[in-house]
Amino acid sequence: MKKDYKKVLVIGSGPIVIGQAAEFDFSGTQACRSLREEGYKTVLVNSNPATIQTDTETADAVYIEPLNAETVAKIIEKEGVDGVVSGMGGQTGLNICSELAENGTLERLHCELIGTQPDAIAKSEDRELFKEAMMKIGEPIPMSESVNTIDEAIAAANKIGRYPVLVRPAFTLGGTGGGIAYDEAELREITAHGLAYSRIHQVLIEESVLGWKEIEFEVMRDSNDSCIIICNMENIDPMGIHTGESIVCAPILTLSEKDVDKLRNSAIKVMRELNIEGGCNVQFAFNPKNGDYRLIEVNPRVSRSSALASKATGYPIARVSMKIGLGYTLDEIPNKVTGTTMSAFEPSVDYVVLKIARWPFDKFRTVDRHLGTQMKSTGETMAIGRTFEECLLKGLRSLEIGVNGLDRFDVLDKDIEDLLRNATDQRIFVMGEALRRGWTPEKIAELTNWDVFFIRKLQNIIKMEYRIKAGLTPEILKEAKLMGFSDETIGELSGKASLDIREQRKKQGLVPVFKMVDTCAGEFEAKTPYFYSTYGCRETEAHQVKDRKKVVIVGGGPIRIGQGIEFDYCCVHGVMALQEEGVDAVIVNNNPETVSTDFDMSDRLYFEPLTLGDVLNVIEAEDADGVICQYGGQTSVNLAVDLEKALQGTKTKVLGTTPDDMDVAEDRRRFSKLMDELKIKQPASGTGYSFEEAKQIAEDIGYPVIVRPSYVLGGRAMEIVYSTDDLKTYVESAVKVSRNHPILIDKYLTDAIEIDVDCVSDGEDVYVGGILEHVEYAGCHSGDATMVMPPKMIGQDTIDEILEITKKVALALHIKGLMNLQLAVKGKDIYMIEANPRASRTVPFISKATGIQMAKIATKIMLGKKLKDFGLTGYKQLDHYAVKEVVFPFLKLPGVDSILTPEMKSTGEVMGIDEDFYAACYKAQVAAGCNYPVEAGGVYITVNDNDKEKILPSAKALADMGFTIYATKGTAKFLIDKGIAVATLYKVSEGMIPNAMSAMREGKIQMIINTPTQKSGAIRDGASMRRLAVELQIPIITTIQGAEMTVGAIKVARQGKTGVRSITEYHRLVN
Amino acid sequence: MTGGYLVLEDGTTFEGQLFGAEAEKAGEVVFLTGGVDGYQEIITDPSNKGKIIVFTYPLIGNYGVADEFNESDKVQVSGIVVRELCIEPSHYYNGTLLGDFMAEKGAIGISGVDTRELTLKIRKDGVMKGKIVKEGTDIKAVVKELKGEKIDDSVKDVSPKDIIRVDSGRDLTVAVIDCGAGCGFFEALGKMFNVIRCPYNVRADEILGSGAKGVIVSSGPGCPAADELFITMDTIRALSDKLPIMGVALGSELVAMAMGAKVEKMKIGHHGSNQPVKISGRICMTSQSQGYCLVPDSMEAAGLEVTQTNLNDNVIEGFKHSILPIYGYEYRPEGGTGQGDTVFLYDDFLNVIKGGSQ
Repeated sequence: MKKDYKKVLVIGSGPIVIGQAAEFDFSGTQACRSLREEGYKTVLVNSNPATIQTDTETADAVYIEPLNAETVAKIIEKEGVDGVVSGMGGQTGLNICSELAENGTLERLHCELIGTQPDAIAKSEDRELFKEAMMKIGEPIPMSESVNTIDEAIAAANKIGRYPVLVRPAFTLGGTGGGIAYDEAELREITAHGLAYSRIHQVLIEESVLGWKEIEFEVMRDSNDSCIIICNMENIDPMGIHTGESIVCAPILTLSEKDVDKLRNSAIKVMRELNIEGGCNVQFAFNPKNGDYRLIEVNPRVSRSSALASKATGYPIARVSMKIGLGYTLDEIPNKVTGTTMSAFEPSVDYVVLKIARWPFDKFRTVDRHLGTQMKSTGETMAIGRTFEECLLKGLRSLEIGVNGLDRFDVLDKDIEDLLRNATDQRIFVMGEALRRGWTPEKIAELTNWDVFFIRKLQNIIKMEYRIKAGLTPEILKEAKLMGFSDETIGELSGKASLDIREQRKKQGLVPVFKMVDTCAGEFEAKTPYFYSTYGCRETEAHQVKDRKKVVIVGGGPIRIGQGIEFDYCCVHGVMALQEEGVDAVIVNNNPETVSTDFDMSDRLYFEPLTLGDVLNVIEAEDADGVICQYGGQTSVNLAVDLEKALQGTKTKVLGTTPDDMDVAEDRRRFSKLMDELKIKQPASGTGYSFEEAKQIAEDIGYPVIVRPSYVLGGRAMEIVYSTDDLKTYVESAVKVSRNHPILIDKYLTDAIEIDVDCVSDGEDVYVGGILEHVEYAGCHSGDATMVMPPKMIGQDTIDEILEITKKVALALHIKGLMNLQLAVKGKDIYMIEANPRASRTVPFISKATGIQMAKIATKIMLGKKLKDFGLTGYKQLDHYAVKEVVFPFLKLPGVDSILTPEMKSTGEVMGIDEDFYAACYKAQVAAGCNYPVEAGGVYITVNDNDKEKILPSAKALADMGFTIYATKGTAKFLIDKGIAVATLYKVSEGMIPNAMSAMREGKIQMIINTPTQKSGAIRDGASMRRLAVELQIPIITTIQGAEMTVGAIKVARQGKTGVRSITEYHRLVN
Repeated sequence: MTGGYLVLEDGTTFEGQLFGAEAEKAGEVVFLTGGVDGYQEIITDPSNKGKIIVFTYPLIGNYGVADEFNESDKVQVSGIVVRELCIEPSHYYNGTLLGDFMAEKGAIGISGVDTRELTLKIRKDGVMKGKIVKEGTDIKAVVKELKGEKIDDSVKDVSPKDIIRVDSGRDLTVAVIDCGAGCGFFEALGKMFNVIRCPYNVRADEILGSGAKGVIVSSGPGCPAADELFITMDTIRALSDKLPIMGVALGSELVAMAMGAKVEKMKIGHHGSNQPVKISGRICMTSQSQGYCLVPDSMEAAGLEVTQTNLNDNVIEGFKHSILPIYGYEYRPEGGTGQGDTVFLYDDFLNVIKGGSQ
């Protein structure tokens, strides 16, 4: 029975952070669609513009505003919301709902929570209440105690009677601040950490179940008390490794029916006791040696696991949860996959599903790679196969970490044991290597606590490698394909090119078939157009559509730093645009968190790795008319040239800008030549094939210079060097320079303002969607920069010139679709940094700020439409402000320097939007979680000589507002001379107290303004201070412009009058 | 391993590798949805006698086999069809390999088959007879032979020969007309009742004189309308106004037919552990191996009320008599997932016997 609500609010989860990624865009979007199909007026709030859910089409009103209780309360009041959905915005959404319930806001505004209720949330989230509930129903949990101090923690550990013990903070995401303590000293340290992160200053000290199997159940319960299991999952990595980090398979592969049922019944009992309605995740530790189990955790909401379970089974958990929240029961909700049955069933699968995490360690070379209870991965990939081996190899190559499968791994014999015992992201490759070197599966199982079942599967893969090497017969080729070997790997092992292997197997009739994910293992006829490939079968279920045009969109794969949810947004918009034009949209992707891989988003979905071979298989199976490579970030762009080559002579075209023109933009020589022809300035540059050559070039250009290896994309291993010594260090430590691997050297433009431009072109006209001005100086990766739209610092002449340049470049590159330019403005000069002939990270941001959906328009242009069909040309300046702020993972990744460099480090972004510039700054900063002091506090200012004069207005404003200014001698003297009261600190290097770090530890400093000296060494010196600031969560501002924005934002915060507005209201301001 | 085929009566063949004993067997080919687990319970369950079970899950045998999972001391099925048979199982159950177990019990299977293709075929064309044969066999001859093949699914072969009393120290005693029940069933009942296990052809007076306060007619293989089962229905009819009766799976069909209801063969049946049934407003997952179902139109005349239906296809899953304490369920309340979801139905029956009502 449907409940009555006038208006329902769905809360999103904010920026992508480690532990909270695209899965909540997926669940929130599904929830909104589910609400609207029931006819409810719907409101959505999320601070993350790179999401599908913040599209104006998703809800009746969409707010891009900071996610906190205060803002949400304003929206509830303004919109007259009377129902708030509690479980779709991850921990962020749940915490806001708890707060709104606790502080009486919901009652005051006559608003109900939809879905799991406050008492149920408290019972599952509060450790003590949870324990009480479990004791009541006799379900075992690890012995534990909630504590609020370190002394209590030690007493609790003594009661348990043995180390190690686990430390788990209450109310945090992704296990932030938790850990395993092996002795009392470690317990003290970790507890201190954990208490600081917990919203309620509470941690749990817990009996260790390290090494047990970790088992998860996704359960669904409705108001009739019907409970069903959507999916059970086995973490192949044992307890002790966060489930977000573990390799996870679905369904459970190694437990007997009796054991599975035991856990299933426990999960259901728990759901009933906690009175959870909707989707819920229950985690167990299971000791396979004696059948003991412990309940570990219950998440009373949709989660990353539920997104995985949805994709693994085809059962739309978020959608059904939403309907249950509205009062429907499971037998009243149709199963959209079969179209004939109801949602009241337990899905059965007839394939293996594996999830493998994607870590950012390729970006952060200094970070500790060990895996534990703290999540470090940014994304994940899912693979589906008919054998475990097939599934694993697909999963590994989906990661895009430069492997085609269980590749060889460089490791010394003596290091193997340690690497097996102490897991890192590379453990699976070490296992493969150990097997190659004759280690027994039993020994490896003992060291890793993996079930030997899985290790024997790895061994099968290794055995097959040897057989291929010994001579590739048709029979072996067949077996290898059944085991999921890629053509690339088979080629490598047999000394042939991968395309030759492809030809060979096709001649042999070895082509993949596509099987359907249908929720019911074939028991009922299903309409889902959701497929995965497999070999060795004769029947395919993906039948070619004959009477319609079909276009394949290559997705973006797992979320990683540098390639986030914004590319999924672009892919989904591509799908929508194709459908609007009457073309069948086909998605190939392997990221289970995203909207693009929702089964009813595209016309057909293929869950596959994004390698040339795998994508070609889909194109051939579809007999596609076109393929779009512009939207899936670097993943798809990298395939464009090879796809075009492989598709020559077929009907399938690479749509949009031609791969050759894309190559002009990517190839430095060709691009430089074009810029010269167009008379567009570029920073002086050169290519060095040896250290001596590089040194000569750098000296000719003049330091500082930006250096990077030619063969790595996306800012990896890119650095600014200030001297020959720096250059030498770089060449010795970071990259090897050689004939085949030269390094690229560019002049670094000191103090230049960097600009991002995104445009759409049809080859004749150009529409500039937006010009974004970076707050940070050029040299900071554009993905990490705070950006302002429209620009504030550059004048109208410069803007006009930028528009002119954009048009010239777009037309010269024959752009059909999207293009992004990165420019640097220094004085009157505009320099071209790079042109990216594809969807950029900023496309969704600009689309949300202006209301013009660039990716959709670009797609239609690829199909042959013209800009004038949309009435778009030139550029329209906004008369409101949109500020992009980013979030960083430093807190979760000890060992990473928080300084911003050409290497991207941020995981996600938010948008602050307002008519008033400083209000937009304020919103962006709050949304990004910066804790700027508002009422009072200390500000530590240390700026380089150039900036001393420029910081004066901000310093004065802060002092006038009553902040205490701290500075070291140089800056202090300057400020005091100008009449500002300053407390002088020693430099840390002087070894005297008080210095900046001691003052920070004492809690005297709430904000730091530090513009580093632009020279060698100075940047590194601040590292320990920056680390401390990260740990204490003290915000650091590194530019004058940033300081000025923050001061303005603090003033706004003090007035406390910021309003909320839906983005449609802002868009009206544009038109 | 030697090569072989699964041959269906319509002539379709699936190639694969044979495992288990050196034999060729025919049976009724049905597919079974569900997870990875429970394969040993299924193949040793007497209800599945005469069937060739197609596991929809592609990896079978992952945790080996262990005595504790046996539903009977034989492999009852005629054969199994799997995508991949595990030969290197998890080390935690210390069990033997599924393939070895089957060989030892004289049972056969075929692996390497595209079980999804086979499943979709059965869904489309309905269950049919099939035979697992060795490479080189004359397929045409097998197909011809299959048409007239009599499936070996007689209740007589799985029902006990004599009455066996099992006293587990409970207050109440029930008689079970054992048409081929598994160990799990007796284990669950033993927690509530002393049990008198009776052959399928037991006479009503033997039960009435035994001290039993209620009767449970068990699950079993084959067709409920088989000639050999008329005698069972006579007994049920004779007891119907004397003792509370509960029928389970095949047993429920026998009870309903004894009261005058009709059954019909299902196109594909329900085989698996995730069949959704609504019981008193709550959805429960049930374990079924149901090949026949009750005809809705025949229920009223037999004095039976439908109490439960399958949420997927509306097939009758439970009924009670409008006056007498007679109940039937098309699944085993204790089977598989039923431990948590439906085992309470035995408690309800216990209450009925004690004089309460259900």
